[in-house]
Amino acid sequence: MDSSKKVDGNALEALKIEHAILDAVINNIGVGFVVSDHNGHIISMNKAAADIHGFVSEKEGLNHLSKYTEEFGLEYPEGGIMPTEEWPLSLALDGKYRNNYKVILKRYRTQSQRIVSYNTVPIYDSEETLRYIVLTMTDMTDMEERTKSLANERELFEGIFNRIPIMISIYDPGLKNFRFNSELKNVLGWEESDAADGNFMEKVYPDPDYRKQVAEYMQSLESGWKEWKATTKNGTRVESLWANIQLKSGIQVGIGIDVRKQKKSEEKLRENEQRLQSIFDHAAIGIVETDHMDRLVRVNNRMCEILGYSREELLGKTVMEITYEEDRSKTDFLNTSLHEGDMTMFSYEKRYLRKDGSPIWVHVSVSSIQDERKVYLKSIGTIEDISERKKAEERMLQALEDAEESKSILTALMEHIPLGLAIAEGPDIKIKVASKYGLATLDLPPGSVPYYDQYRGLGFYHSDGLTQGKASELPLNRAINKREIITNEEWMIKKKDGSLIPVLCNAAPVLDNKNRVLGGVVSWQDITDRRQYLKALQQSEEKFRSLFENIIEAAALHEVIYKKGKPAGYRLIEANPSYRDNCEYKGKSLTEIGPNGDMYLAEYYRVAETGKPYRFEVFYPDIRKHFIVNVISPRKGQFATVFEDITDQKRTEYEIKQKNEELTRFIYTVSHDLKSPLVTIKSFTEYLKEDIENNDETAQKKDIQYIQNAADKMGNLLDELLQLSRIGRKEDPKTETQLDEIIENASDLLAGSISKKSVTIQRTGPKLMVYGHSQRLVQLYQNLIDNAVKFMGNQANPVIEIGSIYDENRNEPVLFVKDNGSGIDPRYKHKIFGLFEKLDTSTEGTGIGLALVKRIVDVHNGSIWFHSEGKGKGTTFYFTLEKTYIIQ
Amino acid sequence: MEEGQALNILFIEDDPAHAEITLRNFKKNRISNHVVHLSDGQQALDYLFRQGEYADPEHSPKPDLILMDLRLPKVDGMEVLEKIKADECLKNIPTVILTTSDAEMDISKAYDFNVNSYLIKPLDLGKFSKLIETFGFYWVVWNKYPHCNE
Repeated sequence: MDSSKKVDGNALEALKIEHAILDAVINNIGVGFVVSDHNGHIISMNKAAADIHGFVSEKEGLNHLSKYTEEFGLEYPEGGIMPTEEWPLSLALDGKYRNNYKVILKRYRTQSQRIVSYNTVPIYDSEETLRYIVLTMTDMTDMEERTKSLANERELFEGIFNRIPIMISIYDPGLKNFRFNSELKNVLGWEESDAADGNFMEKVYPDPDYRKQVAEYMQSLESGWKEWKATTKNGTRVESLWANIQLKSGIQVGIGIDVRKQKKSEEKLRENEQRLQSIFDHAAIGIVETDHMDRLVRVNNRMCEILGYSREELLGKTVMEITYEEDRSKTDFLNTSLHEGDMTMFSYEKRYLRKDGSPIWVHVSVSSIQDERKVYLKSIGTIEDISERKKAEERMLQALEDAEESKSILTALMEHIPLGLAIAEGPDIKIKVASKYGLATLDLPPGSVPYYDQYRGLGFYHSDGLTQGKASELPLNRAINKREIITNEEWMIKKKDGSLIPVLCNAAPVLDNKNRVLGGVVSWQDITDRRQYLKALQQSEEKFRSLFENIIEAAALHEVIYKKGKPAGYRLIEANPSYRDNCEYKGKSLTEIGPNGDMYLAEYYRVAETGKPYRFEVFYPDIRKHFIVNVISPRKGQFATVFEDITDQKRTEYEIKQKNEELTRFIYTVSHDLKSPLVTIKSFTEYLKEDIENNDETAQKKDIQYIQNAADKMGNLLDELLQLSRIGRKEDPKTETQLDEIIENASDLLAGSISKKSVTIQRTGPKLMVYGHSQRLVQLYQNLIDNAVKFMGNQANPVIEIGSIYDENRNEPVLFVKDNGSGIDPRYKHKIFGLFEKLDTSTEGTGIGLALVKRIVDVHNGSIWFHSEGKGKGTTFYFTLEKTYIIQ
Repeated sequence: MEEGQALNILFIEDDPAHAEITLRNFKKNRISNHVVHLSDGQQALDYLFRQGEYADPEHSPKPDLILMDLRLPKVDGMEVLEKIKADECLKNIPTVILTTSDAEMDISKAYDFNVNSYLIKPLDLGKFSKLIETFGFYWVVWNKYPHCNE
């Protein structure tokens, strides 16, 4: 530095400026400068040096220099006090200059220490004489600490790098080398040496397409995780998640997680979760999760069922909304306690409000879930439907109330019931309560409880009134000890005065619901009155019985057989003798053989049901009898049929009707047929007068003839009418007569006309015996034979056959009179037996003949009919008479 | 007697005396129409329905008026009346009953069968004569008949 050695004015001035600049630099740079003379006396220091020493200013530093060694000490960076000979200035004075001489500068007073790096530089003058020594001090304290912490970090990193359960690979593209951590080596099996050949990617991802994808992903530097299947050294493939990081230096870091374990645990978790979910969903109790606002955030199926809401409707509702109004304050209090951490769980019974507005009793258990700072997060509640239990409880309460009521009813009952009644408890038969009436019958004061000696019982005597009942025989003992139910058993009670009253006892055991005998109940009823009533009843019954047995009417009592509540038949209970004698036919009762089957059955049932009598008239064709049937019901379910035989009455009625008709017809006939000749007689009498006046003799004869004929006709008519009216009226008694006798008599009466027309009479068939009014029977044959003779027509060889044939169906002989005469036109057959019916005006007769015949047959309980092949072919009259029989 | 109409009268009467009386009164009252006299119900039906001996229409011209008794042999007068009135061709012929019966039963039954008139034979000849006279005036003179298109 030649220029510095020259000292001139300008140069000085320039130097001064340079010095100032230097000063400014020295005072303002972060490196401390200390200048010493060649004897080691410090002559100046800059600001940075003062700072390093902990001085406020350079001046303070210079003032402290005299005591420097007392105030400051130097130590080796690796520890240990540095002797002063070793101090940088000492070394420099000794000619030993140092660069980056690191020491620890300690200020004793403050115990502060700094790591300082010294440089010592000698300054020589132009004569090469040492003049100054400059020490530069660089404060290394921060740097050292940084280095130290870096080392620590590195150590930490290495530790983490190799212990973290995450695979890490570091690739330095500059050096083209890999570093793997232990996890990667463990999981994949690869070592850094495996990657040294530069084909590591091919080894880990052997499939070219897959590898390409991986490489593209790595280059894209996408953030986030991606799953890849890396191949291990032994060839298996490992599912792993990878993230890619590229450092600024270009170093690529791959971070991988072996997800196999994770997956397994995830699966396990999911399984658990699912299981829990399923339990949650299908739990038999309601489960609900509420958030910090008490809103329902999770509910299970059961919860929905209990409340009658759908899940969607329920979620978001608050606990208060679904709580029954009366239970809201209780719920609010408990929930608040839970929120504030006063308690973490509670359970209680409350009512929810169902969707339909009805309350439902539930048992709720709630647990709160808090975070680690004990702040309330949410609650889980389990809900149990206890409405049934509540109902049962209510029922129980009701039952208790009822029991109270029953007790008061029982008391009232015991007070007022007109019946001996006692209730006993236990096997020792301790009477608990007895009715006032019952006590009175036993001559005990009201309100007392009778003493019951289970060996002797109450003072009950057998119904004979002589022997006292043994304890084991008494109703209450039997009810309790043998579980017997005793119905209407007769006993006697001996009163104090020695009199006996008849009682009717009923007793039964009292069982609990397990069928154990708790006690028994016995009742007794004074039947003195009833006995008298029964006696009266018995007498009445006897009267009725006698009436029933002796009345002419046939009476039968029947009982209706019910099946499933509906009448399904009946049975005969009883019949009186008249019924048995008159109303049974072929082993069946009349009630059974009613006409048209069950025509009256419904009526019988109705009578048995309602008791309202029914009456009808009926004809039984099987026995040819008419009855009036009175159906009455002596008691429900029974009916009696009383048959009144009205056959005779009916027959009489019929006969009267017939006779009335006959009479009407008679009157009618009289008004016409008797009037006719009268008209004739009167008219021709007038004509006769005229003809006499006119002297017309021929006409007179003719007139007289008409008058005579008419008068004769009238006479005959009146005769025959008289005869007809006599039949069935005043008669001789009916007798048995031989038929031949009757026929003979009849033929004799007609002998004239028979011989006149040369008619042959033939008698055929067996000999018969007939029964009746013989004169009438003669008249019958006389009329039939006369009829046959009259209607012989132009028959050249007239024959009348009189005989009989046996009719198997009728089981009796049928008599007949047969002719071979003119026959009867079938057109007129209905007129044959009518009164005054004449078929042929050309024949004589009044028209009464056949009516007479029919009347006679009727009187003899027979029937008559005829047969004719037609006109000109003859006629046969057939008839039957009662009690006709063959005698040979 | 006023101008009469030329009518065919069918007269059915079984009692010969009564027939005589009636016919005499016809004559007396100058009812000189063509009168056919039949004496039983069967004959009447045979004539009206042209069967049996009356099968030939020449001998059985359709009557304009029927006068008949009720009590007739073989076929009752009431039955004859019923058949006349039930027949399409005969029902328009005025049919008059002349009988001794004044029974209510007969009268109502005859009207049930649509008889045109019901007359009872009087016992007294003078009255009988008067009745036939009135009958003649009414049915033969005054009454108008449908045109017979046979």
